[in-house]
Amino acid sequence: MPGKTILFTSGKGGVGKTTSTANIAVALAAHDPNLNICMIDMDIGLRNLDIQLGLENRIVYNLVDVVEGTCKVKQALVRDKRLPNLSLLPAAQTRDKTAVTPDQMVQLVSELREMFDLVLIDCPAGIEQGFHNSAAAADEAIIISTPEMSAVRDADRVIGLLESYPRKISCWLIINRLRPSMVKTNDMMSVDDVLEILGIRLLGVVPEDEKIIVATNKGEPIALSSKNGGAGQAYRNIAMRLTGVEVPLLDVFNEKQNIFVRQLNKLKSLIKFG
Amino acid sequence: MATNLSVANIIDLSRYESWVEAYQELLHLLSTRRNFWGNASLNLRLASYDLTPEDVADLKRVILEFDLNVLQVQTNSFAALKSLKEAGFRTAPAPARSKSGSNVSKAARLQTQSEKTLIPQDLPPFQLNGKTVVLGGSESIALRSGNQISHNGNLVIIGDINPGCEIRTTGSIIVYGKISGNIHSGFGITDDYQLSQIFIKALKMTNPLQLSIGPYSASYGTDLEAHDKLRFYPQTAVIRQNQIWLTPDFS
Repeated sequence: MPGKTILFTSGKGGVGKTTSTANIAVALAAHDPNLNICMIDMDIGLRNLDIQLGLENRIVYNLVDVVEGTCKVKQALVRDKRLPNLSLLPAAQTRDKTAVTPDQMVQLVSELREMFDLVLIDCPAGIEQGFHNSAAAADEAIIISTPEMSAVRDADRVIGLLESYPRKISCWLIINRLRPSMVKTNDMMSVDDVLEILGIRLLGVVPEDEKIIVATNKGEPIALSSKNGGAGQAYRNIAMRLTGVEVPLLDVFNEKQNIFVRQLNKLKSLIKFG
Repeated sequence: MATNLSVANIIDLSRYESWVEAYQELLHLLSTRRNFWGNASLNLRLASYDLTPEDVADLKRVILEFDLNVLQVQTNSFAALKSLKEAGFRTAPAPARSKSGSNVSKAARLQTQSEKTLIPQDLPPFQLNGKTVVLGGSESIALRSGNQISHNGNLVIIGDINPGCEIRTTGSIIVYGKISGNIHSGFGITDDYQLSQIFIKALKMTNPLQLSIGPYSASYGTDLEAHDKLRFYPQTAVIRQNQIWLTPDFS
């Protein structure tokens, strides 16, 4: 049975498409060792997914080489060093988005579907050629948006474009980089505010987490390296939901409250000592 | 420009072949458009699948949770009718399906046609004697950023207009939902009497970028004098004394 293709897109840049792709992929691969997963970095000319996974020094061939017939698909795939069931098809760094056409992508993805259970496509920002190349072969789309009006409007545009495709692509939403403290003070859009505009199914909410920056620089996705709580837990929960397991949404507000209560208790104990 | 429309509140789930899919879609519809549905009175249309008492209990729980007033459940399954009746629902047979697969309803067909003809990017030339069309219908739609609609006549939209969407009509616009886009009614009209007949009605006006009637336009929060609290009530925008006025509308 051919595998399923999931597109990670957002419209706006810098909202966490690549980070989400890397983390959800490793969480899925770690959860089920029998699930063969392939990631495709479609950001030709500005590739990043290899850095997030710590695979940048193992790339020999890339996506454009495969499409142009310079090498076979298997030669270009880079297997993850930690998870043998996870592979990456990296983007070319020296070319641009016009090096590939939507028809070539459909053909490439149909070949990958025979080899893998799940194909995850990391879409570049924007709605030009790179977006259409990525969306051409997708069965489902995960829309990443931050709780900002600019990101939400771009996500809305992308959902409208995906809905206009003749093939039905079902859309899911991940709200990334949510700061519960700012939501409480009405300085940031809440999950409900975003859902009211976009009106698509919510897959998960990922809180803002400083550890993401460290993990990205090290090339160790936070979904593998972190323990309970935070963004790592949120990504692991999202991966579980993708496999069909019902996991409640991460209670980011209470988590912050607990930290606050902990700080208050610390303060109280200090005063007691004094 | 007289508007004479009756919109049946039907949630049509008959295109889903299994109850599980229909139930998931119902939950999605209600949860993502919680404000839109409110405590609405509506009919529920299901396909011919058998419902067990447990399924009916699930349905009842959802109805209670979203505070809906279900007038009637339409289905052609004998077992489902029995379970629903036992649970206290009013039931009715579902209408036959047409050859094209959609339920037979002239209004529904008009809606689908109008969606097909209105949403394309090519803008048709405007005419004053246009007709009233309905976008949406049994399910609320979302007109998203980048969508561009133009129409000769009156337009009724059942759903939300998101920021970045542009709508232009020669007649009036009624939105059973929220407006946050660029709305222009009475496009190309300059006659004062005709302009006085044109309006824009919406259940909720939340910061639309621009609201225009004929040659007049206003931006919410700057030119339009509306109290913040009014945002969450149905409002009508009309032209009075060469200005756009927003008034609460509970008609």
